[in-house]
Amino acid sequence: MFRDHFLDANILVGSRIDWDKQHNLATKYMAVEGLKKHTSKRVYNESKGVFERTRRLILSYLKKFYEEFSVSSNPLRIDQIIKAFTKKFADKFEEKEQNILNSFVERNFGDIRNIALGGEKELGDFKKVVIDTFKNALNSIDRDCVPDSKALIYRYDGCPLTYYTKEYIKLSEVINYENDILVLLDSYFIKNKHIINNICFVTTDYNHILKNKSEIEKVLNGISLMCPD
Amino acid sequence: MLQIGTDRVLQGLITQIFLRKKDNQLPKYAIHKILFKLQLELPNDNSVKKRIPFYWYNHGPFSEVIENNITWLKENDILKEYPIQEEKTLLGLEKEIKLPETTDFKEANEILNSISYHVDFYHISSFVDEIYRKYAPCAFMPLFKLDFLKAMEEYVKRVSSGQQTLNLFIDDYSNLDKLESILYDCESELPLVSTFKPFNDSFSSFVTSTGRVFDYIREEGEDTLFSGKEVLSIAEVTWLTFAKGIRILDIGHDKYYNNKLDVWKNQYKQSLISYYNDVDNFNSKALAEIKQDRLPFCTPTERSKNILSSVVEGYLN
Repeated sequence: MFRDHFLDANILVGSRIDWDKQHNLATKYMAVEGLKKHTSKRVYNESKGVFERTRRLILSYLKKFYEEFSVSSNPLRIDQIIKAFTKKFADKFEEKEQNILNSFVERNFGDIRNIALGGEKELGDFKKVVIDTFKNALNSIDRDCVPDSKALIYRYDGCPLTYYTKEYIKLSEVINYENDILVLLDSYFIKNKHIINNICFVTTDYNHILKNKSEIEKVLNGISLMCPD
Repeated sequence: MLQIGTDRVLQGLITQIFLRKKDNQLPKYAIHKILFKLQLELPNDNSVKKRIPFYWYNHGPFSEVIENNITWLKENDILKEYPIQEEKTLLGLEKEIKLPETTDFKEANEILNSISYHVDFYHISSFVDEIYRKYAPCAFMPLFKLDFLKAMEEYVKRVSSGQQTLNLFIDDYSNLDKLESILYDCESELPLVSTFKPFNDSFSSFVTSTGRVFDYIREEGEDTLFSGKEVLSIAEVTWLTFAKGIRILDIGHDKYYNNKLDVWKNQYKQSLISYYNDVDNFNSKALAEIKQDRLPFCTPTERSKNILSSVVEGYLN
């Protein structure tokens, strides 16, 4: 495999839980040495956007939960109330956000129950933990992805917003999601303009990208798709 | 069809507001707000109610019909503009006009008197507060406009006048933690409709960088005028962009303005592009000031690990 790697957003996002090297592909991948890692501003913005949107989602959930629970509640049925409220709240969002919210509630059920029992102070304390958690994750992305060749991940800020018409059209025949096409074209642009050598495009996205590996590699000469497993 | 500029009923009502107190001088947007309250309180069968259609915009509830009639009154020397400070003026009544004698006008005038009676014209901000907190179409609006933006304006004013640190804040927002907390509350009250998705994403990015600026101020404790001014500047753009979006929603305008929606949507779309770039520049400036390797990092607690793991797992599944 090639030494220069372009990282997709799921690698940047997934590697923020660097304590989970055993189970997390992205974290295991980031621990591999001897590779030169690159990404684009588009990917960087997308990764930050995941944490910012989730912060917004969770803080909104906690606020609305507290407002609803403090007005009408039965402490003996807390668990059912939490589940019912979560389902009602999550229904307003798309599938990805529903997954994140359900995962969050499931793993932090105890803290949510404490808010129901403990009131405003518990809410305030837990909100602070949530905010600080996301600050840490976002700060770590900004520490790692810098427009500097000495950075852990070299971020390229000069990729055009739209380009490579011919390649774009061909890729859109196999990939439905425009952002994925543009990220692939970012890697192609960076490879052609800056790296010159062939590069690996590293992603865990099977449904949109990896399952179309041979078609994509035919269109983007010098890009080799890779899953970090 | 509503009459623009020659509505004797509206002109009569506007002049009546000034007669509540001797030599009363008011900001123009206070007139809009008082008549907004009137519109809400008028019974449905009063014809005046439909004469004052509103939409929510930069200064709260706004009516182009009222605005045109105020302009007409100024042009005809019935109202006069008095400058008070840079770019700020008050309106005063120069002469009274003959009032309509219809039943609907008399009823509207009575309700207007009752509303005006309860408005403290010398401390109009409490009335403004009431209008936003009770009637704004979205909870984000009073939080951001009245709580966050106002506090940042006061901070920049204090620092400009020589008071050095944000920790010298008194009154309602006595410290930086509270200001940051308000910002996160604003974030959790953003409209969930698709019209606002791009705005919400840029706003959250603005929140992240503002949090970093505040962390930097807390750590450095030095003169923060530059940082405070930058936050205020982007916060003002945030509000103006938001206002262009909220008027598009059904909850943000009366049906009278439906024929303006195409123009409004286009203006909002342009402002979103501009806002995205402004936030991007703000983010870059904040990072240039703070420097990436100085961004705070704490060893995650077990609770933090739990939260982050659940987020990442949810995202990757």
